[in-house]
Amino acid sequence: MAEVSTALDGATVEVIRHYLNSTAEQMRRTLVRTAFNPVIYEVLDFGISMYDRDCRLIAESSGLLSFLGANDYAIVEGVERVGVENLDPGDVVILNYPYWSGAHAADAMMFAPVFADGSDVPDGFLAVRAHWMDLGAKDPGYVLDSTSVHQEGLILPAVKLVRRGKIDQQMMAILRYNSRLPVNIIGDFNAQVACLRVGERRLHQIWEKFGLSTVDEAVDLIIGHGAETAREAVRAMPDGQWSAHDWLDDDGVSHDLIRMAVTVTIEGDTFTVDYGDSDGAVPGPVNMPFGSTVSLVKNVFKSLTTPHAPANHGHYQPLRVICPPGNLFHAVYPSATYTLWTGMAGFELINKALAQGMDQIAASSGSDLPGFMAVGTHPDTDEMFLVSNNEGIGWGATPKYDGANALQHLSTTAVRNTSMEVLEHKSPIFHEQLELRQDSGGAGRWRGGLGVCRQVRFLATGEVLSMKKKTKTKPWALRGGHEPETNAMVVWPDTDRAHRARMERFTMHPGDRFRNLSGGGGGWGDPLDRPIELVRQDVLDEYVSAEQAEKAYGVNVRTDGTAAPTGARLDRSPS
Amino acid sequence: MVVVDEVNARPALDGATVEVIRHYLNSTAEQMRRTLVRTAFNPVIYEVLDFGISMYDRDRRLISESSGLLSFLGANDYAIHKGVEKVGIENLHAGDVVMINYPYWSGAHVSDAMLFAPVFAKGSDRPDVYLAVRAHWMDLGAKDPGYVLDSTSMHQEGLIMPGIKVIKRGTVDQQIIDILRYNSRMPDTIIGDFNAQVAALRVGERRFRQIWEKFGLATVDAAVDRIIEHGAQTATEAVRAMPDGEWSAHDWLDDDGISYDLIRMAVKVTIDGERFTVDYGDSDGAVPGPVNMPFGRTLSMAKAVFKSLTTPGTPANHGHYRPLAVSCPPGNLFHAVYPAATFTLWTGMASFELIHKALAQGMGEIAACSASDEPGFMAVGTHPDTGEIYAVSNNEGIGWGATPNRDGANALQHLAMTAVRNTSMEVLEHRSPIFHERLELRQDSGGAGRWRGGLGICREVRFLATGEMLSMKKKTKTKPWALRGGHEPETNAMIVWPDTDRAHRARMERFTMQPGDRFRNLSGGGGGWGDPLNRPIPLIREDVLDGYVSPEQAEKVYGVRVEADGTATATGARLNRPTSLMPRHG
Repeated sequence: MAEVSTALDGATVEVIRHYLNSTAEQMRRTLVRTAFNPVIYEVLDFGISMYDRDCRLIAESSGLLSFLGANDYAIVEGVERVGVENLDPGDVVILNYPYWSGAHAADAMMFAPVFADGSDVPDGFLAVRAHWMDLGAKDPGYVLDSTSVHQEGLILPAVKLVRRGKIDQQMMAILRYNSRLPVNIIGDFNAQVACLRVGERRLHQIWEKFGLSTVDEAVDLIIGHGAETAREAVRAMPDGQWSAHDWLDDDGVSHDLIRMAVTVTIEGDTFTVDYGDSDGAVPGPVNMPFGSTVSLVKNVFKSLTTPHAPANHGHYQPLRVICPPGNLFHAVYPSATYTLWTGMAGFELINKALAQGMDQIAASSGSDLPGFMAVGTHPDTDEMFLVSNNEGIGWGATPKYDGANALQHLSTTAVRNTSMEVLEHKSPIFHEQLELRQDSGGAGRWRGGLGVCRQVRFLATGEVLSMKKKTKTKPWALRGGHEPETNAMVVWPDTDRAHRARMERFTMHPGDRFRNLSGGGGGWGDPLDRPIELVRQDVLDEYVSAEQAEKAYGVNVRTDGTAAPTGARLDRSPS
Repeated sequence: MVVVDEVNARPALDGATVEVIRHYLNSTAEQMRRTLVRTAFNPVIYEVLDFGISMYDRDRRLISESSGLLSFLGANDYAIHKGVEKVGIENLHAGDVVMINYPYWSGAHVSDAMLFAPVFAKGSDRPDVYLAVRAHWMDLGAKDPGYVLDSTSMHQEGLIMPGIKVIKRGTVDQQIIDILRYNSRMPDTIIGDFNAQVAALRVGERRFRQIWEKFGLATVDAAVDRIIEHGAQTATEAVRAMPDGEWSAHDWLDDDGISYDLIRMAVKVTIDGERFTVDYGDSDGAVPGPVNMPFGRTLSMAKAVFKSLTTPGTPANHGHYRPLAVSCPPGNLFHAVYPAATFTLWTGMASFELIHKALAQGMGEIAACSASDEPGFMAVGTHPDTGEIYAVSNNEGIGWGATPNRDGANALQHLAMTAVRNTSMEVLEHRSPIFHERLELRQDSGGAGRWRGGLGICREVRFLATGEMLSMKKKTKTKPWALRGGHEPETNAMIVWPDTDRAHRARMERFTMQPGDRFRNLSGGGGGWGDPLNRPIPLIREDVLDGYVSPEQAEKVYGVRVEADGTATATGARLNRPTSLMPRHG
């Protein structure tokens, strides 16, 4: 049966590569079209990956960055746990044990082995992970103060939900009865299965068209090419070792700041990231499963080295990630891991370290993902509602551009915010205001982007959850640029009980309001070097207030639109 | 396959054969019990005996049961119906073991895992018998370790198994075992207990096959009919012997663990010929905290009380409950519906004597209240010697209520758990880093009366390492009731950090204890029966000499002065009474 291996021409490899990427994209479309849960079909909070028989990444579709790398970690753990010899065609396995799956318990990773005709071991694996609305954690919506994995929902430690194509109805019953939203999660389960089945069919077609050994050979070449380009990119970087640290607000249980620290070492074609100098495990749910940490580093590394090519196993060859078990970035059982925000607030640490040795790094982009959730019982339907929004932030200024306004956080660039229409349709809230947040971008030769100000009123009793873990300390700027405004949530603004929230939950009554303020990007370079004309335009566009223009930029913009240097700009030495 | 005609044409059995078969059946339940006790990992099972073992015929009628936790036994009757209905009789096979702990079906909280197995006689294609074993598991991943005191939803109370086959045709489903393991803080213990429960079921299965083989299925069936019919007859006779009437009573639960409001528990008992009806409808509605009762447990509690009033001497079967009807609308405190929190089952303890309280208005032989709650404690933490999690619990003895012709007993288990035990000091101190400084009867805790209520306990414990202590009691704010002029006894209480400036009288709540921190658990006494001034002076003298009653209390409440030399004389109120009320002696 073995086909004679031939040296493949580049054109065939490219054709096969596009077939594989297209398969991932078709899986994605199937999921988006069939999921029940708007966090999947609107926010795109999922990750779809394809692996070869050695669990090497072949292709993936766009989705939540942190899920993609986590899939790479989880597929190895999951296959090892079940045993390759116990996998049969038609099986679907689910895995959400955080220490193996690289995410919190609500992120259900499902994978299916795919067998070519005549194979008795899998020739490939398909994985799809999505955020499920409820698996019976201690609180509905999101858990902000758990102290053990056992408060975070039903654990499925690599169990088969589908065996040889047959759904295990007992497993369905366990999922249903352990969820507050059984219809939703079973709907999403079915959507994930549909997505896997599409991938299976396409892989069979590709194998049939090109032959298994040809495809295998192409995959080797694709991965080899990924490794080569990544190594070249690392070699092009300066050798050196740089450290950086930053602070997480707290762990949700105490109010103490938590230290996140990284040392990055570039040496020839290896790129090593070490988190060992961070704080140890904390009681609250901000501990990171190591799979999440690896995933986070992969994303940053990929964006620094081979940002444009769809990822495969080869692209990560130069990368090493180190962190001892029991560290904040390497959670061990039974550490609480639900609030994955350490991955958001820690995302730019590598950039912060590299900025000391590399010029092209941008300043910090809001340094967190400042979202919110609304949870409760909808008065119109008497059913539970649960919506969430990832707020846009201002991106950091670069050595040649202003930061962009109101984009998704770097760690969630392929996901979207939830539209106002969807939020108001699914939950009893009403938007009073949604605008750019003036003066939130850090001043500089290049200005950081602006965050968002959103004001929302509850029309019925419900809960709001403030989703952000970096509000007490500022995002960082570069080369004399100014730090931007931080993320903030004000509950009951403009009343005598106005409260600046940390990551916490509040019961809201009809008429109660909250104001979500997202942070800006850090500035790059001295603001006094920013050309007067650009400052003038910022004021006319209301990105910068006239007061800020005068105080931070030394530019007086008059009501007639003319601008003149003033204050510090005049006092500078002419150099 | 059972030939229908054969079933209908049951032989006319002599009484001796019926009795022999009845004893075989009861002995089977007892052997299941011994197997469980000998193989369980968890001291709450093998020391406290916190389990329930029951056997049912093909129509899920109770045939026999072994002694264990009363509330589990009746709850099994409810859960076996729900469980079989959920799985479907046609889907049950020889060798299957099904697990159910969904509170609204299982009649208990999530930690009480009921396993049942269908048993098939040779050739049957439908189960001929069902065996059930329920036991308290140490941890199924509820929001807090040990016990949950402030949940507001079932989803905070642990892994739910809604009628799931853990074993199919004799083969264990390893996936389900994995799910149990990974969702528990104490996986080895719960899997050990799972295996122990399966062993108990297998022993029962084997014994049943032997009984069928020895006597023949049709004969055993006929004997079961006779046994159940006999149960029904004796129970019906007992109810007919009771006075007809309708009586109501209410009492108060401390709170629901969330707010501090008292919660009203109310019952109306109606006896009409051979019908005995218990209605909880006048109680408060569902509350946010975890004190809501699954209806299966309400039924179970009513059954336990009813049984003790009507046919207390015989092992229970389906027939014994024929005169009983229990009603309570869904959404009531006594009929929880999804997703009401049910973890803290103490409503069943504090309301256990409500039926007695109602009947005491119409029946002379009822005893006064027995402390009205089960005042235990738990200790939870990580043991410094092993680095492993521990969870121990103790059901404290209480004083029983006085009756029309006896003093109440001292320091016995609550009526709702008469067949379970406290946890010995040795086991508590072996398994957890605590040290007993004191364990004694609690002087003056029994209600005064012509017959004195029994005494509760005073236990003082010191923590040797950091851990958590849970005070387990839900009736500390209001007093247990007395009868016919007897006095109310002392209530249950827990004092954390006693004799310090942060001494705190606890409700049902949890505390972090540091090494050296102490708590004092005080269990309530029994209510008194009759006027204490009618209690004979020699009895009071002995009470004082025994230390049951203090000289101050003897003088103040009983009107008897007991001197240091042991002599006793009437004083105070006893002297001032009209002579006609003086007791007649001899």
